[in-house]
Amino acid sequence: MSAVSPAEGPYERLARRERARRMETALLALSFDHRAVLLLREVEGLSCEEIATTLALPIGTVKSRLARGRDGLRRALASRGEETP
Amino acid sequence: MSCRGVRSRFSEHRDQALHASEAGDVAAHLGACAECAAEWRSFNADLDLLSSTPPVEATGEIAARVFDRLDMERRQPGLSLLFRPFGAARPLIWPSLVPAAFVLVGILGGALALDRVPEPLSVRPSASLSNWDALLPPSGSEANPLFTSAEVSPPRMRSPERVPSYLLKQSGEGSLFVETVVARDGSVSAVNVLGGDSDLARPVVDALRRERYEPARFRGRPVAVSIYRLISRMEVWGT
Repeated sequence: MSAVSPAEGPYERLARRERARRMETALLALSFDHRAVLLLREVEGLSCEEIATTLALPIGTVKSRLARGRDGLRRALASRGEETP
Repeated sequence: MSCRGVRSRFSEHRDQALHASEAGDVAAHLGACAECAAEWRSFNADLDLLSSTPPVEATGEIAARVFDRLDMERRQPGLSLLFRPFGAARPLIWPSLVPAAFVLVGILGGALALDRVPEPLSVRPSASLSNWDALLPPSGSEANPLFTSAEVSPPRMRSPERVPSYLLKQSGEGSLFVETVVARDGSVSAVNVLGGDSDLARPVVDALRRERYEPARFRGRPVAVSIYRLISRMEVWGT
């Protein structure tokens, strides 16, 4: 599940875990609707049309939720980065 | 195109969903504005990080539960939707309230039916301990006499009919214990011999039947009462 390469050292492993933790926190800050569209697009690799079919939503709604989800993720990561020393 | 306009198009630009002319404008702005270019790189870096996250495979149990729930949501709504965990999504909740409303109406109807006062019975119920009074003759009548008490004044003898002394002399040392029922008109309706000398009984009973009384009264109303007397030779000799 976690892609741990044999060449990854302790520092890299710690940094990767920290990034994963920040990403998880930022994702949880999004609303369910925005998170669902974002994960289907970025992680599952579905197109906007496929997402619209899967979630039974208009294509315009998918695109607007995707844009807001991405923006919200960016802001959440930026605010977490500022909080983290 | 302004910086704000360019940044609002980052999402579509990443998906290459902009028209060619808009995409050209955005690209030209990013080439000229260092701040927006840095923002664009950061935007893509964050999303690339998310895209590089391997998807989590659900365990068999979780997948089965998800598919079960999806299957339930595809079916017609029913009461099962009402009893899902509180935090779970409830699609079609309003249609599923229809059977719930029927259940509620049924419960309320049952409660109202139980609360209604029953109609009085038109048919007289059979004899039971609760309605013995209906089967007995009226209290205070000759067939159901009362007993003297604080509320029932005793009858007063109006014309005592003494037992002839010769009859008692004939019967020797006997005595009688009798119950006399004094009727509402003052006459003696019945004399019952409860104990004593049977030879003495008949003439004494005849004499007692001829007695007349002021009737006993209960709340001013004449009532029949039973009085008990022990008649002995001493009573006769006293006359």
